[in-house]
Amino acid sequence: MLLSRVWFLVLAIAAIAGLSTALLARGVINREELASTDEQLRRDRFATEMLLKLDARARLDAMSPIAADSAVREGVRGKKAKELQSRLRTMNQQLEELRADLLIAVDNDGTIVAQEGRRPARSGAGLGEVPLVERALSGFLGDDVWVYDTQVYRVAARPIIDRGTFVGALIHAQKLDAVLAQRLSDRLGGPSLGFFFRDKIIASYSPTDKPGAPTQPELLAMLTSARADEKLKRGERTEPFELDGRGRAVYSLVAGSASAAEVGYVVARGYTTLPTPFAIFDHAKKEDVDALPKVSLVLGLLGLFAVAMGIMFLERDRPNVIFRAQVDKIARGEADELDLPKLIRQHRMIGESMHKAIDKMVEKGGGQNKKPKANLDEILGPVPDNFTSSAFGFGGEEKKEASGMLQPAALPPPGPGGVKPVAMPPPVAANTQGARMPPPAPMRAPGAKAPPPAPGMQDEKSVSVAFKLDAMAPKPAGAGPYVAPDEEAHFREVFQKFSEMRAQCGESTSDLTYERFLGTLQKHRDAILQQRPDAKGVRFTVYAKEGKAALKAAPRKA
Amino acid sequence: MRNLHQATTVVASRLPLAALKVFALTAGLLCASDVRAGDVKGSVRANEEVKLKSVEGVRAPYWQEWNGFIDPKKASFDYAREVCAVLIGPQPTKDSVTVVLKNGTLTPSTIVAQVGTTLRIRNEDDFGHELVVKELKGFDAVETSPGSTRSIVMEQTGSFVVQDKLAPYVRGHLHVVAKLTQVVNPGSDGSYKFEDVPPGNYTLKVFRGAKEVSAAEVEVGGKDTEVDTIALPPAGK
Repeated sequence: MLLSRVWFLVLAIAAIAGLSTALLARGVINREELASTDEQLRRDRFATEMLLKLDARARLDAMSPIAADSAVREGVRGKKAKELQSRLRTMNQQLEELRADLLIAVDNDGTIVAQEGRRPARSGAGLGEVPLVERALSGFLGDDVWVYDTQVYRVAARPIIDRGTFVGALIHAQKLDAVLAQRLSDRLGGPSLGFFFRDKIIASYSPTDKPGAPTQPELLAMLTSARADEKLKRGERTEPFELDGRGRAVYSLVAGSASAAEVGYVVARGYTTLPTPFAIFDHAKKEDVDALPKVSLVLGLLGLFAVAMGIMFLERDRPNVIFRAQVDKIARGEADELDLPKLIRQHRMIGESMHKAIDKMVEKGGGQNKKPKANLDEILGPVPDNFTSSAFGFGGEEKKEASGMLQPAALPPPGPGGVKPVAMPPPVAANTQGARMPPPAPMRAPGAKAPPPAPGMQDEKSVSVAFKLDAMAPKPAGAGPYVAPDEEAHFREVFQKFSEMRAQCGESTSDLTYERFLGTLQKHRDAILQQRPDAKGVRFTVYAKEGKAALKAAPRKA
Repeated sequence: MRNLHQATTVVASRLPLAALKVFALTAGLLCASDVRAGDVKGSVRANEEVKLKSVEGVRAPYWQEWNGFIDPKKASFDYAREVCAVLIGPQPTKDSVTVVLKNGTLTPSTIVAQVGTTLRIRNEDDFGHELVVKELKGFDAVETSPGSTRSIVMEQTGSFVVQDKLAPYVRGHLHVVAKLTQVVNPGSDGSYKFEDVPPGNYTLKVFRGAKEVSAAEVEVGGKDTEVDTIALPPAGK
């Protein structure tokens, strides 16, 4: 279950990381969107200036044929108002898109001779001292923006030259209107654009094909703040103003004298922010979806799924199979108990509970719980009665040390004095949790070999060992075990190491005494020497196996 | 004057005595006033090169270029619009001052008025103007439509700038003084004349734009008084 828990932790970390990334991305995207909009507005303002300049140039050029027309020249020179106005009307119609809303011809004094697009001028009215007209009368052509008769016009003027002298000037004026706003907006790529005069928007255009494009009321809402802006008063563009959280706008005065009358224009663009990280899906376009690395995503998905399935197999399916197989063995009578070390922790706990339940059931049914008291014999296992054929697997050489483990085995306690221990059937497995004993084998005569292990009960890692019964026979009382001095040191060393190993493995050492330990070692030593008369002695080695202290014995070559 | 006395003698021989007395009294008064009044004449001269007007404090237009065929005309100094001469003496005037908005400018643009008198602004242009003097009480930004006249009573002395809120190129300077006898604007040649000035000591002041460029004491006797030509300092100095 550890893997699955780690896997869930990884998934949780991945989910949090993904959510954090999405939240961070939302903030970054929103900030970048604002910066991008502001930058776009700066470019829009620059482009607007260029377009207005080109517009002024176009009007100056468009009126050139009118100023050069002979009828116009003659009309100005002779102050023939009617003829001149008729001619102005005709020629103005030919200008098409650049047709003037107001076309005025003045004489050399600046007095209006005729004007097209407006009622006839008052008698004697003139424009000669207006800087643009004064310069035109002096020989210059130029442009300006006027507030003229409550309307705002973009104006161009050029001199009328007849017979080598200046005879007057022609003034061409177009209103700052929605048509111009739309034309500019189209050329700028779709911003909302408006013209203002003091506190009013006099004309504006908001593209209908741009969702969220700022409207005229929104442009008007920030006009008061814009007019108070110091940069605007200096003739510069303002910094972008926020339009109700859905657009940005920059304001600027027009070039020319009307700027003193607070005539200007505003360029605005809408922007879209992500209110939540998931809103990014609403804004994804088809090309975004197409650009996704679908193969990698699918492979990643499958990979994650495979990892999850692998973990499930290792931690759930496979242990279940093992557990079920062991239970089936018990059900078939091939085993009396579960091989707990092979089970995972949860199954092992279940198995222990099952074992306890079975014990109680047996006791209640009149049986006897044959759970032996743990002693050193259990630890070292029974004395093998035939090394050569024993699964104990002594290699016979110290260099080729046997891998068999003398580990706890469910041995019955030694019989009362004089009674020889019985040959032990093979243990089911190393049982560290008080494993149940298999049914004891019938007693055999000395020298008789132990019966083969029950089918299915033998385990390669937990090899049962048969010992010669006479080798395990206790010495006569009072005789005491014979221990050579060098062996004594070795046994004590082994005892010391074994005690330490048990302590390291978390096992109890309270019931471990040297005398009992020594007796068991001697039994094993004698049994081995009986089988291997050529051996000089037996060496015991302490090691840990599956979390338990264990001993190995190997004969030393003579 | 001698012819007047001869005529009086002829008429007296033919009229009754009473009528003769009345006539004699009237003629005497006329003769007496004729002796004491006089004109004050003078001129101003600007030697600077006159430039075409430009609009200050606004964003420059995009285009301004020569026509490519004929040399530009040179601008001339407009004394009548730029200069104002005043005579300050013991007899304050009660006359109002009238200025005209014409040809897209304020004429004269240098205005001198006596406190308590009325300044009349007549718009002869074909479009509206909105003159304002920020520091002068009662001279707010009010539109003067074509053909109409606006009147403002000068309630405080000082020098002020007159601006047009709709047309920034319309600009003037208003000087409101405590006492004023006569005001004239020079002709196109720079000459000016104060007519029928009662005898006495006067101060002649000449204004150009925001500045008083000259001040001189003038004594008016029984004949015309000629004042030396006044050289106008360059604009801005």
